[in-house]
Amino acid sequence: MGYFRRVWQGVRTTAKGMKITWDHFFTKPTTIQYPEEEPYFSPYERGIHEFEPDKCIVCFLCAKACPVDCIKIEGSPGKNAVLTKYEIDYNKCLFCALCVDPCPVDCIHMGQQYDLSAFDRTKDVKIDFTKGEGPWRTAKTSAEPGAGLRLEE
Amino acid sequence: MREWIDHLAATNELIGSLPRGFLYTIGIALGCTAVLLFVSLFAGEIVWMERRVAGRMQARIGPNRVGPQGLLQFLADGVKLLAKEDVIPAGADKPVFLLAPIIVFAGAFAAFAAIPFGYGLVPADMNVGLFFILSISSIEVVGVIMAGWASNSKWAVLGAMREVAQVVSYEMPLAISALTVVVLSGTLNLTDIALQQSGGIWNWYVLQSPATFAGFFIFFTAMLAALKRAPFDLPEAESELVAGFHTEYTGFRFAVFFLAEYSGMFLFAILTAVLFFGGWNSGFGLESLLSGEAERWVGALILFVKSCFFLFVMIWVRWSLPRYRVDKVMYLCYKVLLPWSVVAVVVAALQVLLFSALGWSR
Repeated sequence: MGYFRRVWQGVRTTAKGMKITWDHFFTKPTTIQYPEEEPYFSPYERGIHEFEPDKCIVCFLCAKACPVDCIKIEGSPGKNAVLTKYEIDYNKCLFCALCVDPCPVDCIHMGQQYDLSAFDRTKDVKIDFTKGEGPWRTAKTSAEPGAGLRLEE
Repeated sequence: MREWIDHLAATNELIGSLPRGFLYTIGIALGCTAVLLFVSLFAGEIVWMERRVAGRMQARIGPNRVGPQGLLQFLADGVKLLAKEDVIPAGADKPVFLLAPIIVFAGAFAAFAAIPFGYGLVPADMNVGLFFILSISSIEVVGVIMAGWASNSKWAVLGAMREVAQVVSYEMPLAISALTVVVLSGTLNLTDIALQQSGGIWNWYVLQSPATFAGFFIFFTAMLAALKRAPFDLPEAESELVAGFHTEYTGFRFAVFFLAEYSGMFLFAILTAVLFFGGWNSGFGLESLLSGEAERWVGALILFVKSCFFLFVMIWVRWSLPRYRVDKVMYLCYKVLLPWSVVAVVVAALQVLLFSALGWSR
């Protein structure tokens, strides 16, 4: 390549490169300002579970399906089923949603709650769903119950 | 500075009653402190500006949490750097290692002595102002080489070697392209150069002649090399040499290098605005509406805005272009910038001769 062509190409490609960043300068930033803005999730997002204790018939199918055995259920099965404890240990849970499919009464499904931070690993990360709202479910970002799409639908 | 103090003494009785020598001493001390403070703080804000602009160019936001829109980010960073351990590597040449950041800092800041921030707002209005700035700002290079050599680190030495190779190639086109303006203006005094550009936008030197128009681009390119900024950031080359010449520096010493780099940016941004873009003249006759002190300070603001624009361009270039290879920098400086800057100076000289032969003023 001749000298003048080389110089011209240098100038031209520099201008071209500058044009690209100039255009990008006026694009909208994709950053989500996390605590103030909420990220968008797909309806199929697998966050913390939503559980409906009134429907549960204590059949233990979800606990059997769980590959990491993180669901602890206490109660008596049968016609007048009594559920005293339904605890999911989120230290172990891998959000595979395998507990959702086997439930015959469709009382457990995956929620939209993504914020998994907690202060105490021994207490806060285990949620007993029979005791009303867990620490995460009271959080500001908690999605409405039932917002998560049920997988069989 | 002296004119300004004389003016103040003439208008204010209390100040006028004090001995003149005392006033000059106090004035110079206060002026130096003010310039040092302003430049240091603004250098911090340039860092913020760089991070915000870089963020926007990469479709993200950049620091916006500390203070309004992140304006105080540099203070947080500075406090963090001050809290760091001060490491001097084993086997380092200790006196040289400790002296290097001081020399870099002094080189970057001494050049501000001749910079006019506005009409009469120049710490030392010397008749060789441009020459002074170009030569004093080169002292920074000595500090960089000392830092690289004294660190006893392979990365640092490689960075210093690259800096040496770079400095001998960019200094000549930098000075010669600045000469195009000097040939047309007939002075090295920056205040006079800016005064000659008063009036309309067509009086700005960048539009005065094809020589200065080309000279501006050569000056700007060589300036980027002088500031060790991308695409000429070979001496620090993060992706190749860790941090180049300041790899081994920590805490406050690193902060000093950083501050010197960004205040150097501000220096050259003002210099470009004064040499080529009319200094404190707005270019559309805003000054004629004002008078006295108001004109002075509005002019300073105009110059500040212009230099901010050049800072933006420097940042824009940095986040657009990849780093040159070492031999390509030599090629660019010796084979492209140097001959073209010489051609520009010759054209400017011919223009001056032609205009004086025809009896035109400029």
